[in-house]
Parts: sequence; C-alpha cells; structure tokens
Amino acid sequence: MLLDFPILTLVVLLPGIGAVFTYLTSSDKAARAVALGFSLVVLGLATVLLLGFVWPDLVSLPTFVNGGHVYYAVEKSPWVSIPTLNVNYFLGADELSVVLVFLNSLLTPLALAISWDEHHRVAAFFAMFLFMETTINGVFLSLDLFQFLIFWEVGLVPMYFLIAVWGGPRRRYAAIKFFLYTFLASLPLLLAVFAFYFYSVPHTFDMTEIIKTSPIPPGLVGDLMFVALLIAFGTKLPTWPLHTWLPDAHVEAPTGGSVILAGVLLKLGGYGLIRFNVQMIPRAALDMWWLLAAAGIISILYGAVVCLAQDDLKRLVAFSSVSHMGFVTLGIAAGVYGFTINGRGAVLGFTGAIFQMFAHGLVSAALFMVAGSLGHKLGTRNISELGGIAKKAPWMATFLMISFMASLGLPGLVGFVAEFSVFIGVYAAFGLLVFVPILTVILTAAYYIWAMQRAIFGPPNPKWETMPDLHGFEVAPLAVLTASFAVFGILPIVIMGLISNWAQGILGGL
Amino acid sequence: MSYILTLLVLVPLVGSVAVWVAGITQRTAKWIALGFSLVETGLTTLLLVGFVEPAWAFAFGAPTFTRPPTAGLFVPLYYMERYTWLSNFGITYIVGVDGLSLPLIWLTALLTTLAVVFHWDEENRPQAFFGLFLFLEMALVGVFMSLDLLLFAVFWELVLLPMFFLIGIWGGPNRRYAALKFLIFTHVGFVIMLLSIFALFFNSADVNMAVYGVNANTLDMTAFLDGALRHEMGALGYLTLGLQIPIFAAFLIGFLVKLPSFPFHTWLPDAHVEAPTGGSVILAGVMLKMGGYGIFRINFGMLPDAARDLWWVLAILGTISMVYAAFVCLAQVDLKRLIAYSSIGHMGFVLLGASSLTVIGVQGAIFQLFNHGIITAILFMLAGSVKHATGTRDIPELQGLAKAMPQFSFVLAIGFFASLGLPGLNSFWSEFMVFVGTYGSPNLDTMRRLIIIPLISIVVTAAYYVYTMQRILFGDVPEKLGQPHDLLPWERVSYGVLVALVFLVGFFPLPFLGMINAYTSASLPWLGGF
Repeated sequence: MLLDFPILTLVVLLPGIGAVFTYLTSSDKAARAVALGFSLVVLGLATVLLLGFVWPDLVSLPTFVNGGHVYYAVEKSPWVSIPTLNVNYFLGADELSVVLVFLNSLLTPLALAISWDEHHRVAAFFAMFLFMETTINGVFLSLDLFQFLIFWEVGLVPMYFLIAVWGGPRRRYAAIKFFLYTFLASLPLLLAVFAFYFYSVPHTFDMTEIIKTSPIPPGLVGDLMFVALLIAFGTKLPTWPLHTWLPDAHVEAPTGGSVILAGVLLKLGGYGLIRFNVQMIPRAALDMWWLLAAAGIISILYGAVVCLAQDDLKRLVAFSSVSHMGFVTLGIAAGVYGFTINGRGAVLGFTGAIFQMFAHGLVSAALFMVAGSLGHKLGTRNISELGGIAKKAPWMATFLMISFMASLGLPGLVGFVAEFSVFIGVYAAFGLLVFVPILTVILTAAYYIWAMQRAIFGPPNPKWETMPDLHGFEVAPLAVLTASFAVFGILPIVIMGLISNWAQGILGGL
Repeated sequence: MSYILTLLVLVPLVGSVAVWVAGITQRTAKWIALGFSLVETGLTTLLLVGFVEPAWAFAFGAPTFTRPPTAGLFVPLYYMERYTWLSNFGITYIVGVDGLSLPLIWLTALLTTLAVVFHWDEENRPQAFFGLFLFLEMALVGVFMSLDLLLFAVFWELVLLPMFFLIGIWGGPNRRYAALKFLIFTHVGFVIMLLSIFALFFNSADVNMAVYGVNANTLDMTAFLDGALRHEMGALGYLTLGLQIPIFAAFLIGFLVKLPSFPFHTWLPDAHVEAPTGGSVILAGVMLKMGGYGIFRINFGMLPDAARDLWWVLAILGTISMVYAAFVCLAQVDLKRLIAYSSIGHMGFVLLGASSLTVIGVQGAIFQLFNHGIITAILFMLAGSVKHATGTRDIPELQGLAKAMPQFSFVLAIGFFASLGLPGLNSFWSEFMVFVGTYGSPNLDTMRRLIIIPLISIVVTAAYYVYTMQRILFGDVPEKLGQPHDLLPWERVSYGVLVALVFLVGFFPLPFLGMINAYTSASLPWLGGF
C-alpha cells in the first residue's frame, strides 16, 4: 500500500499530543493507560515506517531525491519565509534515521512499562516520557537545521525534569549538571548552524541541500567546525573527555529515565556525528577523522577500565555505555578513513557504527531496567553488598545475566553482531589497530563476569532473605528486549542490510 | 486624513482624566481604567491585523503611506497625520507608524491592560494609580508614533512623569531614592539628546529643501529619514559625517540610558526592585523599548553614515551588557533584582544585533524588543505574585513552591525557559537572528570567532535561570512561608494571555517578522546582507 498520510508528522507530534492528554487525566490509572496507548500507537506507526524500508512491496513510501540521496516520506512546508530567513517545516526519513526512530518508539513503551509502579505525580511523569519521545523523533527526522535545533534543545527540558523531580538522592545536582553541560555543549552546534547558513549559497537551513553541496570551504573553517560539532555531539554520545555528566545523570535518574537516556538519547550524538560531521562537512571529515578515532579508542579503553572499579551497578553500566559508544565513534572514523584508502572498510565501518547504536540501545535499556529494579527492591545497587540473588530472585538473575552477556558481546546475541561488524570495519580500515578494541572486549567480559559472579552467584547475603523477584510489569519489557537480542542477533540482516545500502550510498558524498 | 493614530493617543489621555475625575471608589476607578485600556488594546489590535493583512483592514482602511512632494525614495510611514502647529518654528504635529513602531504600540496597549488587571485589588489610592497608568500609556504610544522631533521629545519626557510617581508613591521601602535616581538618569540622558535635536534643527535647511522643497529649518523626522535614505542609495548629499557623528553620539547616550546598556544601567535594578509590579511590567516591557526604538528610528534611520562608523561602540557595549549582566544575575538574592539584570542582558542582544549592520541582525534586534517585552512582563508579574503570596522575594527563603503553588510554578518554568531562549519559544527566533547577523556581519570578517564571547552569556543565563528555578520550585515548603496561596483569578488572566503569546509567537513568528522585514527592506536598505 502506498503511504499517503503524513506518517512522519504523526510519529513526531503524536507523542507530544499524548503527553498533553496524559497530563490532563484525573487518575493515575488513566494516565498510565493513555500514555501507554499513545506510545503503542506511535510504535505501530514506526513499525509501518520501518516496513517501508525493509519490505517495500508491502509498504511503499513516497521518496524525495536531492543530490543523489533519497529521503522517504518527506513533508515540507514553509514556516517562516522572509528574504533573510527561510525556515521550513521539513521532515524526512532515511535508513539511518528510521532505525533510530524505531528504536526510540520501541523503547518508550518499554520505559513506561518498567515505570508502572511510580506513584509520585504519575500523570506528569508519564507525560514527560511522551514529551521526550516527540523531541527525540523530531531530532532524527528533521531535515531543516533550525527545526533540528529546536527539537535538540527542547529535548533537554523533559529529561531535566525527569531527573530533578523523580530521581535519586543527588538528583538536583545531577539534573542541573546534565542540563547545563549539554546546553553548553550545544553552543558549538549553534555556531555551526550559523556557519552553515552563512556559507551556503543561497543561504539555507535545508539539510538535504547542505549535504548535497557541502558549502563549507576546505581548510581551517571546516576543521574548526568539525571540532565544534564533535564537541556538541560528542558530549551527547558521550565520548571521553566529555562524558562526565553521564554517570551522575544515570545514577540519579529514575529507571525509565535511564532507559531512554542510555537507550536513545545517547544515539542523538552518534546520529549527529554521521549526519553533520560526515555528511555535511565531508572534506573536514576526511581531514579530521583521526580525532574521532582517538576519541573512540580512548573512550573504549577508559570506559572499560573504569568499569572494573565500580561498585554501584548503575554506575558500572553507565561507564560501559561510554565504552560501547566509543565503538560507534571508532566505527565512524573507520568508515571515513576507509574511504580514503580505496573504500576498504568504509561501508563496514559505518554499518558497524550504526548497528552498534541500535544494538546498544536495546542492550543498555535492558541493563538499566535490571539495575534499576534491583536498586528499587533492595535499596542498594552496590555489587559488594549483593550476593547470591540467583536463589532468591531467579527472574532478576536471569535477565541480569542475559543482559550482561549481550553487552559483552556473546555470539548469538545482538551485541556480538554489532561489535563484530565494527571490528571488521576497523580492521579493514586501520588494520592491526583493531587489537585495542578487541582487547577491550576481554576487559569488558572481565568486569561483567566478575560483577555477575559477585552479585548473582556465590553465597547468599543474609540481608536478601526476603527480597522480592521481578513483578510482571518488569518482566514484560525485559522479555521483549531479551527476545530482540536473539532476533537481531540471529537475523541482523533485517537492519544491517538497510544500513549497509545506506552507507554505500553516502560514500558518494565523501 | 487618517485619524486612528491621534485616537490612539487620545483614548488613554481621556481615560486617565476620566479615572481621575470619576474614579472615586476602587471599583469605579479600576473598571474605568480597564475599559479604556481595553478599547486601546482593541484599536491597536485592529490596526495590527490590518497592517499584517490589508484585506482585513476594514476598520481604518488599508495602510497607505504618504510620499513627500519631491521625487525619489522615501521611507514609507503609514496612517500619517500632519497638522501644522507652530509653523514659524518648524514645529508640526506629525505621526505615523510602520513595521518598527506598530508591534511596540500594540505591546504597550496590551501590557497596560494586563498591568491594570494584575492590580485588580490595588487599595492604595487606586484613582491616581490607574490614572497614571493610562497617562503613561498615552505618552509611550506618543513616543512610538511621533514623527516630529520636538513632539518626540515632549512625549519622551512625559513618560518620565507618571513612572516617577508610580515608583515614588506606590513603590517599595527604598522608593524615594529609586524614583529620584530614575528621574535624574533618564532626564540627563534626555537633555543630552536635546542637544542633538537642536543640532539637527539648525542643520536641517538643506535636507528640508531636498526632500520637501522648503528652504527652512524643520524638526520633521520624515525629512531626515527620507534624506538619509536617498543619500544612502546614491543620490544627493546629506548631513556630513563630521556632523552626524556627534549627533549620533548624543542621541545614543540618551537611548543607552533608556535601553539600558552598560555603563548607564545602574538606575534599572533600583527602579525595578522598588517599583510596584505593574510599574515594572510597563517599565521593562515597554519603556526600555523606547531606547531600542530610538536607536533604529533615529540613529540608524537618520544618521546612517555615523552608524556605519560607530557600529563597534554598539557591539562592545552590547557584548559587555550581555556578559556582565549574566554574571551579575548569578549572584542575585532578590528575585526581582535578578530579573532586572536579566533585562539588561537581553537588551544587550538588541545592541549586538544593531551593531552587525546586517538585515537579519537588525531584524532580530527589533524582534527581540518585542519578544523581551512579552517575556519580561511575565517575569515581573511572577515576582509580584510570589511577594503577594509568600511575603518575600528572597531566593534563599523560597523553596518548595511547586508543591504549594503549582500554577505559579508552571508559569515560572515557562517564563524562565522563554527568557533563556529555549528554541521553540519566541525569543529563540530573535536571539538566533541576532547571532546569525553578528556571525555573518561584514564588520567582523576574519574576527568572526569573537562571537563566542556573547555566546557565553547564553549559557550563564541558562545557568542562573535553571538554578534559581530549581531552588525555588523543588523541595519542601519551609515553615516561614506558611500556606502561600496560588495565583489569584486576575493574575491568571494576565499570565494566560502572555504565556499564550509566548507559544504563539514562538510557533508563528511570521506576522511580526513580516512586518519587521517590510520595515528593514523599505527603510534601511543600505544594511548589508551576507
């Protein structure tokens, strides 16, 4: 069937409308139902959108071609058009954004599910998640720079409130640190948008135009812009050394908040790096890929090493996110560098990076769900205080184990496919440098298995005699995610095929 | 001849007299005041709508401009009225509006109405109080529509009078000092401006000849506007640069005091802290815009060569205002003083945008005047609400208001996010345009990266707003505050209108941007694009 209704507007705005309805409900039950309902509808729409890419015979999306790049389900209408300022309402999807939009739409209802037992100001809490979903989908689907900025910045507001109002003991500190840190980091993005507008002829905010024409002149301007955009997106990613907001934000955020934060918000950084740094300033990317590679390698190593020293389970997972997102950065670097050496590893690098974003989204969501539930039930997340919970809470132990295995890259699960594809890309591009991330896998396995051993197995700590196991509302999202690990671990081609074709396509731009 | 503009001046004047004469009780005084201010708001809204969409201008006819008798370019000013007054001295009553002044006139009418509504329970001499607001409205509207320099000066001074009394009589504990400081600062600035007016008058014969064919001195602003425009677009000679520069400087001092800009800003925190809420709303929401208006109408419109030479003064002062005020805000304890300093910072944007000498920068600056007026009205009302409900404006003493006053907290959150320039809300458009203009300004050229300095103020602004919001709203209500009441019904009306505007202008800035664009392309075509 041909898709002739504005699916992207719905995917972007429906959660926000749902947020308003949720906020206005009069009972907690109604709030949960309305919120979950809206998020499931959006998930349905996102699935239809994904089908348009995966199974074009079933769902046919209208296309828009500009400069050799194809954008799907495009919606464009003028917003402000005076001679000096031409801003459009411009939404469009390509393979890169659709994967991430699907991830967001999948994780939001799961985050709502895991938060089912929240009792403090439920309507506002659930509304914040939907508000977040709108802004994140808006970022991924925006093809106008001004509009991108709006969704990017507004996204800070709901996460700030989620942490500040519903978070842990140090939530005020963590929330304002998160807000100001990422707000400061978005100033280079603002500066870059000025530069894009200024250098493009005619002056435009149209991202498809800028990707086509790459208006930034080669040389110092482009290199500085690359660094500026790296600061902006690297803070979100987060890459060392701009990562320090993440552990605090994660530890203090409510469980559902962490799920979205790690599962989706971090991917905004990766998306930005690819869309802006690689596609919009390709000459600078060809100059400065080494910066990405360095940041990636250091993040991978640093994150893993610091994990070994963590006692708080949530903090451990936070730092492992830093490490895993380093793979994304390294994969992008491999992709760019690979292009300079006759295309070896170029497609693989990008494919690996993007699939790693998808995989890590699923895996870290599960990790934070388990860590959050654990902390919630036991009152502590300190690994040293846990012990032998396998006997008392078999469900929790099972899901914790599966999530750990997926995160460290057990073959058969999605994490392995992602890491492996990054490794291949890095090897094809950089050769033996790949040993560094490979060795990190060992470190990763070390900290996870050690944590698992202390937390799950071993003699039970008498404190946890009466600990409850996971409730239904916690098992359901975890089961979904665990199933997705297996599905995408065994059939990654569904997503990877898409991404690979896309990566092949953008190499023309480099 | 059109009559609407004089009507806009007469309505509040008659209204203030009516309040003073017939407003014997609090009830009659406030209802008369509300009535007249609503009429004014209605008239200005009709005017605004007709301006944006001439097809809807049934009330006063489609906007038409009046050309000067000589051939050539001219600055289009609409609904012009021209009556000779003292013709041997070259003084005429001339009024007219365009895309620069009309949003500000509309804002004046709107904010006066909302200020009257906000003070619905004013018990202290309500007759004089409401009467003064209407008189103030008349003077402000007069400033924005005057096209004769002396008329402009008369209205400019008239503004001081009611504000002085509003602060001095209905203000806080230190009101005498604040009112006097306000009066002296702005009056001295005015006197310096007067020197420029005289200088223009005595050098106006040639300009008058070229534009109107009359070889006599004049105070007609349109003569200077048209003369400057024709000069910039290549035609005849005009006032020499050596003459323009001191005139520019003297006017600038007067406008910088009003804006206010560092270093002439020190009257503002005191005036605001001591002024009654409605007074602050008009003071910050409209009066400060007189300074910005003056810079564009006179300094840019009539002295463009000097503007091209002295842009760096505006740039430096604007940047200092932005950065300095932001840091000072971080240290504030009194909520109202914090908002006052944030106004200084936001007006720095106006100077920065003007200094860029680019079309988009100037448009952003003018739009910033309008946006800031709306936002700062919300903020000062919030300060008034919290004082009314809890008895204090001290940030360290306020806590847990989200629990005690949820409606107030909602408005505060929106007001603070709007003021820090969150994209999606109205001030992001103007701040963005100012920055793009500065970045692309031919003045900066290789020093483009200097834009980082004013950019820092954005983060500091976000810091103090989010930090203050966090401290005031979260946590538990301390014993001292007792049981603060949430918003009063009339407060809700005022906030409702303004918050709606914040979102509406944020989502649909085009009506106002279109007007402003028409103004810049017609009146300031010599500004650079990039």
